[in-house]
Amino acid sequence: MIRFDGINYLYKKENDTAPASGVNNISFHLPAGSFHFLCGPSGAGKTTLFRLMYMDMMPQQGFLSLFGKNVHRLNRDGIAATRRQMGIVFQDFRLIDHLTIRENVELPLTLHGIPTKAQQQAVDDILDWVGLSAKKHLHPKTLSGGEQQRAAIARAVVNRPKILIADEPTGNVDEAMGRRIMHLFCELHKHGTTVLVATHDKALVEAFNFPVLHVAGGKLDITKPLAEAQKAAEKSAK
Amino acid sequence: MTNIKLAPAAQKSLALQKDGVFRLLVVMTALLGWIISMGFGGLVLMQNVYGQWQLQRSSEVSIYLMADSPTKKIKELEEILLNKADIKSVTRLKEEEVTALIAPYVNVSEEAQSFPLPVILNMQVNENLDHDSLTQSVQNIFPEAEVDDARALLATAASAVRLAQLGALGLSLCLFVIMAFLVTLTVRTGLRAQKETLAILRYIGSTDAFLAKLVVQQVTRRALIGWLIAITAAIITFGALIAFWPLMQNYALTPTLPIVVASAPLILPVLAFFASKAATKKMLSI
Repeated sequence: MIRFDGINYLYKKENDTAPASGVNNISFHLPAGSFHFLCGPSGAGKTTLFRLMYMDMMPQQGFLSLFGKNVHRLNRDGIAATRRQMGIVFQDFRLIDHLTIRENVELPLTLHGIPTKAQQQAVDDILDWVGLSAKKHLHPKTLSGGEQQRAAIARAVVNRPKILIADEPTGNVDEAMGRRIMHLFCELHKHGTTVLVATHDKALVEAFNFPVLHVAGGKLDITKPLAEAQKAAEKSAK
Repeated sequence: MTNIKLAPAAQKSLALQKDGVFRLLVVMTALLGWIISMGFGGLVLMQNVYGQWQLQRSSEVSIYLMADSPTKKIKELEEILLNKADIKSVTRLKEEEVTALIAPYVNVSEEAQSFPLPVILNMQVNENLDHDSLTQSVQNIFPEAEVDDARALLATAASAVRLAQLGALGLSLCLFVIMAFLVTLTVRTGLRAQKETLAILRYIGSTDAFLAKLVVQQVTRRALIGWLIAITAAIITFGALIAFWPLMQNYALTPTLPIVVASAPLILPVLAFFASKAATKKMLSI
């Protein structure tokens, strides 16, 4: 589903002594229907990985494929079509300020060519799920950070994407809502969506037993789910 | 995807109208449209005035004879003229008609007793009349007679009218260029101001065609509003002209004028459609 093969993307250095940032020779494969966490310190390259995934920028070296297609070979319409199969939750929400929450959530469905009546039902359902039914006619700027984050999540999942990538989706919500959002992602995952969630929340990673991609200094380690790792540790101790 | 009917949320997603230049588009379209309407309407009026004048001038010929021309010879001339195929009628003007004609140039009332009045023959002719042959026939009997030949004047007037029409068309072309420039500027500034929204729309999968459709729809809609304002203003202006200058009725109340006044500025929304399409395509590809 998502394949990184020797991917390099290094940002221009401000001066010769500054370390190059970005990602360096990253390779991994996220199969269809998988669920992974992406962890790592700030500046480690998580956002760069995400931007490469949603084709905001193209790799300087290496091979990146999405849905089995080489992204280098996609034209502008091809990129748009690929993005329509993805749901993206940005850390800074990126909601359109002059649209209401409802209109923001409707947009991906319009792009999918879904009829207006069907859109209304889907939007109502998802807004109900994230607890924003009462605020659907408000504009993003009038909502709290957590509410905006839930609206951004609703927009990302409303068209049941094949890939969902979420950058700190629980960063601005309380623990209960964070769990609820993760359960929504799990629900999508059960229906076949490939999910990648970037988070700093160790408790969340521990609570949901999924593999972790650990990125640091532009390099990547893939760890097994915590429970499996603990079992392996217990076995080796015996 | 480009053929989908845009939901209200999609239509609102690119709020170009927030930009001041975009609001100016309606005003400028209305102003340019009014100028074009008045210009083309004026051309139609000019054509009507010229057409009627030309018809009158080319179907009438006058012969001026000396005051002491013998009546017998005048009758002889009238018979010769009436026998010509392209002369429909010959009328000798009465003395009071001649007096009225020369009144602006000579104080006839004071000199009425002594002033010799010329003899004027007015003829209704058709357009195939051979003027040289007519002049020859007249001068065979009255060598000093003058035949009024309007051909040179008509040719000059025709050239003047054509020149005025070409000038108006040239001016219209300049206005079209201004409109195209204005639309391009509007689209550029509008899209620059909406950079963030454009990025979001792209992240959720909008194609260039979808975004272009949003822009072109908004630009064309505003240009159409400007067009409606322009033709309303032009109709009011022509209505006022007719009301204050009743002579205009003879030339203005034709089916051609309202059609031209309404349709000429329609070029502006059409131009806005194509210019916005081209400008958006260029901006989105950057």
